[in-house]
Amino acid sequence: MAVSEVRTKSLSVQRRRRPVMRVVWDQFSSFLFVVPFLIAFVAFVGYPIVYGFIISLHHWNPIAGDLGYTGFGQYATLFDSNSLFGQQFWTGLKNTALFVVISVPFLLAFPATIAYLIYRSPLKSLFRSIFFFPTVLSVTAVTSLWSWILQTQGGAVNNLLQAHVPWLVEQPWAWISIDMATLWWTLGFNMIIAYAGFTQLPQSTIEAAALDGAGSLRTFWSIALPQIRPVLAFITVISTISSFNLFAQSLLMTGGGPGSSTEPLTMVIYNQAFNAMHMGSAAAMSYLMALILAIISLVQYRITRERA
Amino acid sequence: MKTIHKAATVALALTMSLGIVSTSFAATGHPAPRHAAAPAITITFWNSGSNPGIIAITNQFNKVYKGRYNIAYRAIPYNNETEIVNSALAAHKGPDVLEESLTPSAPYAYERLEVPIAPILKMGGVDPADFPASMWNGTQVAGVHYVVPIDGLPTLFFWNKTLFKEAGLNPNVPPANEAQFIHDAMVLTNPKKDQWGYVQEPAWPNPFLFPSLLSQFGGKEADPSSRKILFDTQAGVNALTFEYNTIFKWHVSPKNASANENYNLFLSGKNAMVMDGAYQYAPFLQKYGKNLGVSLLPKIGPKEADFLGQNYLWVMNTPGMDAAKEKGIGLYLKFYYDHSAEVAQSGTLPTWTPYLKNAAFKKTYPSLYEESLALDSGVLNPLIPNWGTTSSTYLYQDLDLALLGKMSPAAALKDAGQKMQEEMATLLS
Repeated sequence: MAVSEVRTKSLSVQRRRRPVMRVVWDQFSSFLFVVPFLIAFVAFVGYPIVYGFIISLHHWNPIAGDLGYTGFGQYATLFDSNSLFGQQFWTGLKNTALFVVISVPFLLAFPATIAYLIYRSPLKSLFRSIFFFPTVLSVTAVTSLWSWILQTQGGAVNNLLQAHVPWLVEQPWAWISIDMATLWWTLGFNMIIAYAGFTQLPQSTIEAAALDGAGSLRTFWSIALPQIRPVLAFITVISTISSFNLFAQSLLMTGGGPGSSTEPLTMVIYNQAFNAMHMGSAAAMSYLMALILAIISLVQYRITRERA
Repeated sequence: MKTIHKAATVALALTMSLGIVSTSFAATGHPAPRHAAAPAITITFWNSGSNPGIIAITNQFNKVYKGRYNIAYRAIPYNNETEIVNSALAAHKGPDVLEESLTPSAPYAYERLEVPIAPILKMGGVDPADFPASMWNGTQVAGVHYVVPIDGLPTLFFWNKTLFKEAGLNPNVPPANEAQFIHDAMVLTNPKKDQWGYVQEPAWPNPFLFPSLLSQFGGKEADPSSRKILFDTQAGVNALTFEYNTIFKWHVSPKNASANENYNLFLSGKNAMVMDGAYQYAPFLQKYGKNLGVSLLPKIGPKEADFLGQNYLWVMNTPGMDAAKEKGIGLYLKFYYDHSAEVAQSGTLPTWTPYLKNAAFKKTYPSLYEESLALDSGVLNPLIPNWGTTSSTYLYQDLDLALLGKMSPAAALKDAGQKMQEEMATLLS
């Protein structure tokens, strides 16, 4: 019998002789590490998800409670263009989709460009701090500031331009204002992610491009950007999700106006739930919105993964 | 060593799990047993926003009634009070007494979550006849009073006396009717100086101004009993047309004013006149001092009327509510109204007629006395569940569109009326 064969046999005997309790304990103890998270997850995510769905199947008022089972009636109402709920839902969804379309490209392009400029700059720390600074501000502070400087009469921007642009009360200016404020506020976060991507670029590739005569712009466009494509894909997905959750900027800058033209779906849901107290239809709207968002994210993820 | 490390980590995980579970139970379980010897009855009182007058009176009440009653006062954020209160009620942790504006009380009344207030007033020795009629009448739900007025915030007319003087107008005589208002506004408007006679902005002041003007033209917002929408009548069209004309016909107000512009431009001396709630009095007075003029609204329509912003108090039908507690609340209310001077001292209009008629009140607080005159022609929002929040979604959005020149006043009111009527059918009744 070879030495190795003896050793293997002895090990397998040892394994077999391990007490059952010990094996169970080894397996179970690893599970225990996730128990704190699991409890919090079930209590604060799992249970509300299930209960929210149950509410969406009922006429449910926060004060009166359950006012009767409706099945999927409230979901059906959302597809009825003659109903007030249906009109509000689709207007909110259309507004939200518009904001996603006009904000995500900027939330990708500006941070990526600025991140690259900082990456090539000798004052990296200084510029990183400057551009990241607005991200730490609260949305209330950001929107108050922008609302103030964008006032039609006496606003700093109009005074500077010597113009009378109705930034917050006319379209398309209202959307442009919300977009500008959002970009200024959230640019820093995306910039840091893109910057982290640039720091992973192999220096040799950049140097080789320079030796081949590529200028800064060509290096950025043809070398740097393609190599951080997975990072850009990630930024696109998270920016889409965060843009879909637009709420405070509209509420505090335009109040959803003019009319309801900047009223995003989240604001419609909020008003339904807490102002009109139609918690059931608000829950149905939320589930439909989550479903739409999941489909969009999945499509985005598939496309970017394949290209990456 | 490895085993000890693993055991310690597992113990930590278990402790965290138990911590979460026990915290949850502690949050939802029964309250700690009360000390048997504790004689004082605790009454929880939630106030939307923080009111210095109420705090001062509550502290005094707790001193006077020490050992018998204790009012546990809590200020809740003004803009989120509905969410906070409803969440608390759903968890059976609501307050005994709640203070908010009028219409949020309606859903609780319809759901029988409130206690009728008349017997409580009687226990405390408060006579409802001593409330201003405009703040007491029309506040019943199905014929029962559940709420009592705590303070009032009438709609007022403010003007900049310096700008009046510079324009050659008498700084001590505000416009009294529509013709005078338009005349003064035209004289005060000076495009070369970017100065406006008046700023009719869409958005905020309209929930105060539109009901005032509507009522001046003889209209009503809605009928609470039938839930019929009434603001889309000719009176409503007249009221909104006045606002519209200040921008598009008389050109005394700028086009496309954004939110807060009437306030900001008034403070920067670029807007001569404001029609808004009494809450603007303090910041305007701080800026202009004796150069600030304050009066009741000019009579734009054929009759005098003034929308009253307001705060009311009501008693929740909490599990611990009993006769002893109701008595304590009654005594507290009596104490509150007897100390109306504290309310006035905090800059808010009291709602206790014996105090308002007191000569000392007129002498000590002349501006509040001026405000109190609005109570004679005061109007309230209809007591329909969530009127304030639903009207801001449907009515005021369409009024904004009219004031931005996107719809005619009549079309805006018609559209808003249809939407609100549809919404009425879905509200609690």
